[in-house]
Amino acid sequence: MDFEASIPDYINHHLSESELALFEAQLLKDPSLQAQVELERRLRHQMREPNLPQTRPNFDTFSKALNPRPWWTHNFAWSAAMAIAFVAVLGLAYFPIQSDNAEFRTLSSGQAIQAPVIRIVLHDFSELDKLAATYDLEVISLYPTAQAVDVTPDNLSDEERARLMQDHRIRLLKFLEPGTF
Amino acid sequence: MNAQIQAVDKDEIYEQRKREDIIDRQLLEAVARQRDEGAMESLYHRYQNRLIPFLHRLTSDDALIEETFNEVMMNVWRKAHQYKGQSMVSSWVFSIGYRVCLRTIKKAKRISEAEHQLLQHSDANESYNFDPVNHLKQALNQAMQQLKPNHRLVLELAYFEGLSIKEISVIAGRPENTIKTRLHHARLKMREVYGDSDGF
Repeated sequence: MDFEASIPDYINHHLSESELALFEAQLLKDPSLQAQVELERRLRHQMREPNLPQTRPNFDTFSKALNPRPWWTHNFAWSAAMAIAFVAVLGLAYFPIQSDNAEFRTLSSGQAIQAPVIRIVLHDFSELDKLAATYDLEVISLYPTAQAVDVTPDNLSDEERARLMQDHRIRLLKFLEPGTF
Repeated sequence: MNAQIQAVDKDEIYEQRKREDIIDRQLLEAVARQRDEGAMESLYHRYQNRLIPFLHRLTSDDALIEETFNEVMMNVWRKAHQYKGQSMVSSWVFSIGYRVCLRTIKKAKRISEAEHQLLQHSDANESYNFDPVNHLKQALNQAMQQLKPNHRLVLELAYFEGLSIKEISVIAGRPENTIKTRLHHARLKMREVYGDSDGF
């Protein structure tokens, strides 16, 4: 048995029973080994640091790295987002959002009305109510800035139609085809 | 009488380590088979108590300690299925740590040398108060740092972790005789320093 090499195992209590008995027996009769064991113990005692505050790594931070998403899934998500945005922009360019809000309606705005419509431009917009009452017109859209109105006639007879076309309150009149405006 | 005390201590330590190992094995198995993050968290906290003090002796750089510890635990997470059960789980974890720590020591040495160069100029004008106790600790600490990294780790594992030569040989992946030789050289170096400073 190499007694000198066994000192660390002796101090750390790792010798087997038979090894321990041998070592202890040698220790009793060998002052040099006793000195080495003593020196070893003092050395360890000297090197032992007091309990200093120590770093405590955080598991929550660490756990994020346990199952990282592969790099291509990041790229895939990014690519998918870009494709969706591209399709959305393209779609909006071809099919702009249509609004029923009269505030933004213009004379060129399309409407989905399947009925005969007459677009009338008046000399005086305040005459609209009287005109509508005279010919039994139903107002569909108003364009106040243009002094114009879209109306749909309710069973307008040929005679009424002729009178309407010559009404002095009307500056301009146009019959629009259903569904085309 | 002394031998009897040693035997009792040894039995207690052995039983304690056996109990710890059973828990470690269950946790590692859950990590390997079910990729159980809860089990990993338990292992993480259990080894924090053992590895962090060990790492603190290698470097005082907190960021480096955290980086090293997390690297060791990440290896445990990834390689859990490779554990064959032939050694104690702690020996297996330390064997992973051993390789990571060898790199840490080299890194810490570079940082320490850079810091030393920076501090040399500022220390030059400061008065020096001699403290024999701290002087011995500093001398031993310096001697530790000057040891070859693989000698130093072997000494750390024997002195502070209380591991046997057989366990250290498993951890380092080297024959027991190699460990004995490394330990011998390291202890000799430390004794030289201790002997020189003992007169103070």
